[in-house]
Amino acid sequence: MATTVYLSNPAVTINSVDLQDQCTSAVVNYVYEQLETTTFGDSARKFGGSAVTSLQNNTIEVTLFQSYAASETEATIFGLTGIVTTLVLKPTSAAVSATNPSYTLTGAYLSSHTPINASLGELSEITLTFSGGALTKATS
Amino acid sequence: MTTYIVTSDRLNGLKRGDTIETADLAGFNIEHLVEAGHLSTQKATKSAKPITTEQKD
Repeated sequence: MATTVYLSNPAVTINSVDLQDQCTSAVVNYVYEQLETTTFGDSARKFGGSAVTSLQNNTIEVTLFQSYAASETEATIFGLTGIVTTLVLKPTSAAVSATNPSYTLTGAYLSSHTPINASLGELSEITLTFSGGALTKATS
Repeated sequence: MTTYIVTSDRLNGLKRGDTIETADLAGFNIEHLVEAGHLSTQKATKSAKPITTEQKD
């Protein structure tokens, strides 16, 4: 059985900026909205169908260590709030392949950001949710 | 088409000092990359005449 263990190297770029060394968690949610196509005569609910294409409703959630240094987390993220951008995530930083696919979310919107998220004695982290946009998968 | 100079070590696949054009940044927010210090629109300037120093014994 082949499983995937994330040790250290998933690649995360936000607006083309590589934030892998600040990132501790990343979740890609690939979602198509569920449209009901149940009709009279059906005995069970149905969703979708060959002629029904619903909208994607994707999200990417990332957790980053906060850093206020030049070109680091805050400088990269603050200006993206309220606008759309592109994110690219890969399971490892190796070249894109069938076993290391890249997921690109184009036109993702960042609605909120917490510039300060501070607790005594803890490293500051921020969690960002990018919503919307079209998700594509590349294997080469 | 505008040419940008990479000014940080964080741009994906690029090194500080590399140049990149608008077309290569399609889909990304270039204005913000400039504001965040990852790119500069300033043209690379030639360094002054190299100064050679001879070591005297």
